[in-house]
Formats: sequence, C-alpha cells, structure tokens
Amino acid sequence: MASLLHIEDLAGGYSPSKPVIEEVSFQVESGEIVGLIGLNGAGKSTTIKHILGLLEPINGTIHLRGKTMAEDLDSYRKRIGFIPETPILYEELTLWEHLRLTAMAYGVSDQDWQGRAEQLIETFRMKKMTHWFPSHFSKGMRQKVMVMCAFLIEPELYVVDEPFVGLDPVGIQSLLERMITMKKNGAGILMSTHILSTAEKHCDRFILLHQGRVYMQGTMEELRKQAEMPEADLDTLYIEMTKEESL
Amino acid sequence: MNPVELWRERSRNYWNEAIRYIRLMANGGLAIAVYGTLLMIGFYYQSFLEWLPAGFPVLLVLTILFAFLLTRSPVRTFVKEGDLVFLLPFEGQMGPYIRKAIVYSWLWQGAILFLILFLLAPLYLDRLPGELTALVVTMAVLVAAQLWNIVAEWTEIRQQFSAAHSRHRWLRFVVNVVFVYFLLQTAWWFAAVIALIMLAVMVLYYRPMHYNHPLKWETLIAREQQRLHSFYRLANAFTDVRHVKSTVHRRRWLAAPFERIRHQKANTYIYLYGKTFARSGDYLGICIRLAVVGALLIYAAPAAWDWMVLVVVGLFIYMTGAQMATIYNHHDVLLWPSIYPVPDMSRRRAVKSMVRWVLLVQTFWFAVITALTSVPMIMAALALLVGVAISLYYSEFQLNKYFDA
Repeated sequence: MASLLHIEDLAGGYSPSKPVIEEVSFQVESGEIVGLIGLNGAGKSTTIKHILGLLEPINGTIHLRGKTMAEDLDSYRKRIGFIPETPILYEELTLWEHLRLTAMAYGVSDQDWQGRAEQLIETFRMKKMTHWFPSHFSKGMRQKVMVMCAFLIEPELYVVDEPFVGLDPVGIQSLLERMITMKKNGAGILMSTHILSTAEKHCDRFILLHQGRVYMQGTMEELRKQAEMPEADLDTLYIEMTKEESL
Repeated sequence: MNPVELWRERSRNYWNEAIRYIRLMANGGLAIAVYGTLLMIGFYYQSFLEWLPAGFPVLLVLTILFAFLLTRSPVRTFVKEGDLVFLLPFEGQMGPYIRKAIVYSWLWQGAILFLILFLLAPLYLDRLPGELTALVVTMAVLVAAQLWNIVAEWTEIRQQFSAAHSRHRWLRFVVNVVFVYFLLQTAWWFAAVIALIMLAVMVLYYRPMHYNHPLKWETLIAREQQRLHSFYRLANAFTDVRHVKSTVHRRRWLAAPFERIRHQKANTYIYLYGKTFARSGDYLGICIRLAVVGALLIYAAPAAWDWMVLVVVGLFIYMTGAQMATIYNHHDVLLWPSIYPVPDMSRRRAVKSMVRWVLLVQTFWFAVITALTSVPMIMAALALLVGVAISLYYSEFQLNKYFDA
C-alpha cells in the first residue's frame, strides 16, 4: 500500500522567487508518530499548510495514500485531522455544537459521533462546559476543543501543530494517551513541537527542519549516527543543528 | 516630537478611516435612512407644530435637552493604548496637543448644538418668548457655554475616581439647567449672573484642580476607545466592521430548530450559518431594524402615492438581502471552512437558502403591515408579489455575483 503521507522534493511558500521551504522530502506511515522539529521560521508551519492544501506547491508533490489533493479533493481532506497551534473556534457555537459540526463536515455518522463526543468530553474533563460558548473558555479549554474535534473524526493522519502549549498537565497526559491509542489503531501522526523531551519520549522518528530544508531525519539512533554523537539526546542534536549557520 | 504635528497626524488618520466607513455606510443604507428621516421631518414638521398641545412644556423639554447636550462635553483626544508607554514621558510638552483637542471638540459639539437649535428654531419662535435676534444671541451663548463645559469636563477627568467624575457632572448639569432656563426665556440679566458665576468657578475652582492633578492617561484611553467603539457600532449597523466583536446571544428559540436538521454532510453549512444567524449580533439585529424602519415608512406613505409602498418593500427586501449576504464571509478569518471535506457548492447553497428564507419572512411581514394600513387590499397583494419576486431574484442571482466578487 502507498505511504500514508508522502512528500517528495517539496518547495513552497508565498512567492516562487523566495521559497520558504525547499527540497523537503519525507514520509509518514500508519502507526507511527513523527516529530517535526525546527526553530521558529524553519518552515514547519509552511510545511503544514502545504499538507493541509492551504498553499499550492511551487515544486514537488504531496501524496496521501497515493493520491494528490487535485486528484480527489474531498477524500484527501477527509483523511486529515488538524490541531492548529492557536485554537480557532466559532464564537457562535458551543462546545457540543463544535463537535457536531465537525462530525457533519467529516461525515461521521449520527450513530457514531455522540458516543465518541461524550467519551472525549469525559477524558478532557469538559463536562461542565459542554454547552458553553468559547468566550467563556480559557486558552487551555480552547485548545482542548481543537484536540477533541480532531480525535472525534478519527482520521488516518493527524497533523498536530504545537499541541502542548496552554494545556494543563492532565490535558497533556490525556492528549498523549489518545495519540498513542490512535497510533496503535493504525493512524499516522505528524507533530510539530518545541517540547523536545516529550517529543523524544513519544515520537518514533524525527524530521529536523533548518532554514527551510530537511537537516536530518530518522529515528533517535539514526540521528545520533548521522551527527556522530552517540550519546546525544534530542536537545543536544537540536542545539548542534542551530549552530550550523546558513549552509 | 512636535505635538501639533502629532495631533494633525492622529486626526488625519482617524478621519481617513472614518470616511472610508462612512462611504461604506452610505452604500449600506445610511443615505436612505438619512434622506428618509429628513423627508419625514419635512413632511410632518408643520403638522407636528400645529398638533402639539398648547400646554406642552416646551421650555422644560428644551431646557433639559440643551443642558444635557452642554453637560456631556466629550473631548476627542485620539490617544491610543501605546501612548501610555510612549507619550507618558512627554506629558509636560503635550499642551499644544491638548489645546488642539479641546478646540476640535468644541467645534464639533458646537456644530451639533447649532444644528439642533436650528432645527428647533420654528418651535422656539412659535412657543417661546424670544424673537429672531434673541434666537441668534441664544445660539451664540450656548456655543460659548459649550466651551466652558468642555474645559470643565477636561479638568474633571483629571481626578482619579469615577465617583468624582459623575458628581461633578451632576452639579454641572444643574448649573446648565438653570443657565439654559433663563436663556430660553430671554431673561438676559439672570443668565448673565449665572455666566459670571460660571466664570468665577472656572478661575477659582477648576484652575487649581487642573494644577493639582496630572493627566489620567488610562481614563483618556478608555474614553477614547469607548467613543471609537460606539462609532464602529454605528457603522456596523449599516456595513460590516470586522474588528467589532458583536456579542453572541444564546437565543435558544431561534437556534434550537437548527439542532433538528438531518445529520449529513450536505447540511454542514446550514447548521453553521443557521446558528450564526441565530446568535450573532449582526444579522438578526439588522433584519429587525430594517423591518421596523420599512414598516414605519409603509405606514407613513401618503395615501395619494400608495405605489410608494411597493417601492419601499422592494428596496427594503433588497437591503435586507445585501446585509444578509455578508454571512457568507462571516467565518472567513477562521481556517476551518477552507479545510473541511465539504464542496464549496454546498456552502453556497446553504447561504442561498438561508437568505431566501429570511427575505421571504421579511416580505410576509411587510405584506401584513401593508394590509393593516388604509391603502387598498390589492396593494398588500402586490407588495407580497414584489417582495417574493425580489427575494427569489436576490437569493438566486444577486448572491452568485456576491460569491464571485
């Protein structure tokens, strides 16, 4: 079967003469968590926007289960669940209505969504806020709504942008547990984050982006070998990469 | 830093933005509302004067009106939040800036006062003792008193606590009531005595207060923002002002029916836009306002020109449509609609059917109002016909143009 997410030689950004990312190639398979690591401005968000189809590639291709977005727009989009870095909520909808709208948009059947929704509300301790409007939510609660919407649709690929910021420790724990469950169920997860210790503990592979290019990628073992630093942890490797000034 | 330059730049920036909004408002029905109001005044003023019973306390009403206008003497300062950091060190050199702000505010408030007294001139000449000369003198004196009030207000808000602000306002209101009361009766000597007392208070009370209290920047900024916000809210009534966050209301009675729609992908946007329409401050409010104004115009249409009713219905249905259409872009700042696996066609269909329903309800309302007035019944039927035709036309063809724009 074709890779879940296959990015080949991607160049992208907002202007063709000044691409933000170049020659980016990597894959995400079912049943793995891949960490997308890099400094601010390294091109993580641009890469994510390309995967979501918000930007068109300047060069290169993005395949999801062997198909580009142009080939089958709706099934491409249906396969991706997105958790944005800053929560994006409808001020007019309650938490419950956010879940229902998401279920409708992603074609989760009426039988399935309510059970899942109730379970998620339980897990993320949002029972009291079920019928609240977002204006009464704290930053962390807003982030939880995003997390719940993504898990509600149980997509094949999760694209997760800085998920831990703003969540309380219990929330982070629940999120990690969920991600691991979904991974066991066969989903792939691409997660961008700055919390390197958490990433090192939970990601199967890493993609280190630096100045718009893939600096290295692989498992912890492979990264250590490439950097010739057999004892190094992710933090050290990361700092090493940032010392490398414009290649 | 040159304070006069800064003032010029600030007021220019404000007006550039304000004019843009005023233009948008003119497109969004402000022009019609203003013309409508002026026409109504023109039509009814004379008969209103004749109808007004002789026992009506004109003097009292005008006294309170003008005392109120004098007492609320806001100073536009155009200060911004960042000034708390950047202008604070220059407070000592802000004198010319503040003088400009005071003169600017005086000119505006004075103009408003002038305009209102001008509009009320027939009432003044008809019911109050003064003749034309007295009216002119009164006008000039009121505009001068406005300056006194503006300076007083400006001094008062240098005090720390809002309780002190409102106490001073009330006292000033009392003074203004007495002053205007004498003025409107052409009791010149009494008015002059009050004016002298006011000047004495200015020198003996307000001057020391001015020197004893430094500027309260946070008060200034809060007031400035309040004023800006009320302008944006007004603009928002006619056009779409993005950064005015309208409050969300639960409105269970209107939102609940959308909970019962069938759970399927094609209904995603009916659900979203339905709840948005029900709860956002923007749409329902505008529809109701247009419904009320339209109904008033239908009611007021002169019997000889009963075809006016049809024009009003057509126009107001169209205007309601123009306001409703903006719901299509309501969530554009949010990312979700652009990544949902739902075809764009289904989003457009949802907006079309929403708008169609709202316009048909509006049409029905106008038809009922027409039937209740004295115009022939056939007009109500025609109004219904015109309204339905425009509703269908707007939601089918005009919306397509809007989507593609």
